[in-house]
Amino acid sequence: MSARVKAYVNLFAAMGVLQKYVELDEEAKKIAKEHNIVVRFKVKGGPDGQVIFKDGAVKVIPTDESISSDVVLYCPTADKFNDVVDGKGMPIPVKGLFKTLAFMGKPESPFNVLTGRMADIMRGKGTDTPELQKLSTLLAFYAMSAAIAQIGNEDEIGALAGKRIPDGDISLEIKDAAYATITKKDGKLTCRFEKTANPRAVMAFDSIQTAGDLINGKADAMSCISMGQLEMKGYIPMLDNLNKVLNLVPKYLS
Amino acid sequence: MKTYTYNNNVELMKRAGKVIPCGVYGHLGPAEGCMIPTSAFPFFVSRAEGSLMWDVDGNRFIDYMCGYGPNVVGYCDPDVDAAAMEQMKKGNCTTLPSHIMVDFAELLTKTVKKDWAFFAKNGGDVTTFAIMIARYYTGKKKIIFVNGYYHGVAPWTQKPDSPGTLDTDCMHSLYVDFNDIEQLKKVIAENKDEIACFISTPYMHGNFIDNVLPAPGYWQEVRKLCTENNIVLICDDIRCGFRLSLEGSDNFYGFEADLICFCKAIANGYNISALCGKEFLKGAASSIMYTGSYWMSAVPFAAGIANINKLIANDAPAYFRKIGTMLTDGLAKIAKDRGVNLAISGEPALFYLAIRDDDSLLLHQEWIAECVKRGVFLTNHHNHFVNLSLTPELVNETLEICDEAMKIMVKNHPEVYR
Repeated sequence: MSARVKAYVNLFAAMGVLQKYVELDEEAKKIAKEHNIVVRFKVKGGPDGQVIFKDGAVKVIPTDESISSDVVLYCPTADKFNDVVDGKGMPIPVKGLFKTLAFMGKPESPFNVLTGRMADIMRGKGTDTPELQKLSTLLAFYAMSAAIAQIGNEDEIGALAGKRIPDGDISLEIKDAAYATITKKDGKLTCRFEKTANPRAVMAFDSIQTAGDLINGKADAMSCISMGQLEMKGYIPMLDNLNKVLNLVPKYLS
Repeated sequence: MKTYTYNNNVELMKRAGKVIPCGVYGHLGPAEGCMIPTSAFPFFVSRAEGSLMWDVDGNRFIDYMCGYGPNVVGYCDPDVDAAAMEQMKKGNCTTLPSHIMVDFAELLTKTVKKDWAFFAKNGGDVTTFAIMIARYYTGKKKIIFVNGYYHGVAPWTQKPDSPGTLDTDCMHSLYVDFNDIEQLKKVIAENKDEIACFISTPYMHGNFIDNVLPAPGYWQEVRKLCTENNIVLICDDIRCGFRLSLEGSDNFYGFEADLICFCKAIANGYNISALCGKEFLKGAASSIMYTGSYWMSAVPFAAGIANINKLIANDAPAYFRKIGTMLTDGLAKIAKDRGVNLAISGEPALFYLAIRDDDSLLLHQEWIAECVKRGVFLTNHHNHFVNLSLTPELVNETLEICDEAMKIMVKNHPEVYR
């Protein structure tokens, strides 16, 4: 497994799911509302992205120099950044030291509380109510979707399939519950957590249960299709290649 | 027109899913993208005869997949089955091969104009053997593939990102586009003295794309380049074989392959494949240890002899062209009348269909689904097949169903068909 690719997945998929977490969880939304801050993670030889907290919403985007960062955190290697995400290390603050300390300096700091809770829920830790189990699956679904784009762009094998995905939107769906769109354009894959108006291909789970079983490795996609639990339609070469990237997701998103 | 339901099919698929990976794996299963939506398709057959099959719910279908090719004279053909049953009484999988293996090899080589025949079971067995022979004979490693190819499921045929395949399995693979001679010349020049073989189907009948026939002079130029560069020319005739010409599709398109692979239509569904080749490669074929437990079973030889004789007696390729053209002309007229842009490509015996009014193929998938639910078994994105038992009456019934299905699809999409 490439540490560099894992860093991309950690920043834009694992951390990227903060967007949906604060939308779907009231406690998370409350914490997010208290902070308007832009945190930039800059990883040498790896991803460079901004986590933007604004008015109770969160977005994780590739660094846009036109958006000023309150905090800039530097990691000299992808491994170091992955340690930060795993709670085993601290990045180097190169801008906004005091804000860094206040926002993420201690285990009880808001950023760490948010990401820690989210990670626990995604891993099924303490998800003993149907609501939390549902939230766990939804967050895992969004993380999986975002990871597909990162792995399809950055992983050596994943990029082979990623390159073969024709241009257009692929809609990933849990029926009536969650939507993500993978877009292939200009040779790159991107992911956004919303329904596309013009899908060129669709991969739709019939239920949260099916999605959860697939994400947790209790079921496989091919069997789900046979059983009618996973619908694939549209321009199938898009999905055929996307599935090859999807096969690599568990390696990075454990 | 009544539409079908599939309760027994679904129940059986649930049982299958518990004890068989994927329920139905591979190209006959619903997971390979050719049965969309799965709810429109049956999964299991109860019986088949001629051009018809009945599923486990009792639904009757005119079948244009023909088992994905093997059904060439008709399901349960009395002549082929009688020959097989007769041989079954005399022995099938025996310690020594039956003498009829020689009879079949003689008939086959004479029919397809090659010098020798080697028998196995599946298409992938013989494409793999062809590659091994080419590498052994030339002492070179690299294989030129044509983009969009399908030559089976062995690791050498895959891409490095295919599950179960290693990047090292594909490290000697080179790729060119069909009909692109300049690209082929460039690849040969860049890999001088490293290329063992060029493998291709006689025309581009890949899935999800309109099929492409060889441009005038294309194959003759490929042949010349292969000869000049000591590259073995392999024709994968597994899908087209015996449908375009009984002499092999290389002869049909006016070139001579060094090795040619047959399977599907060779014995009307009895399990046998064959690699046929030119004399200069017989020594290489003899030198490679390549075998399997059932490769010399006699029943498929008997079926193959009866099948090929029946194809010869009925001038089958001419009939396939005639009945295939009747069907595709009818479909083209229906589409034109309904304002639908239906692309029909490939040879009439193996026609490929695609509605081109959207770039997602969703309209096409809807139309095919409506056809299947009314008793015409087509798949979404694979070429189709005709067989000797297909009658004009069945074609007319097909056209009636396809027309109604298209009418419904058009009605459901006023945003496209105003």
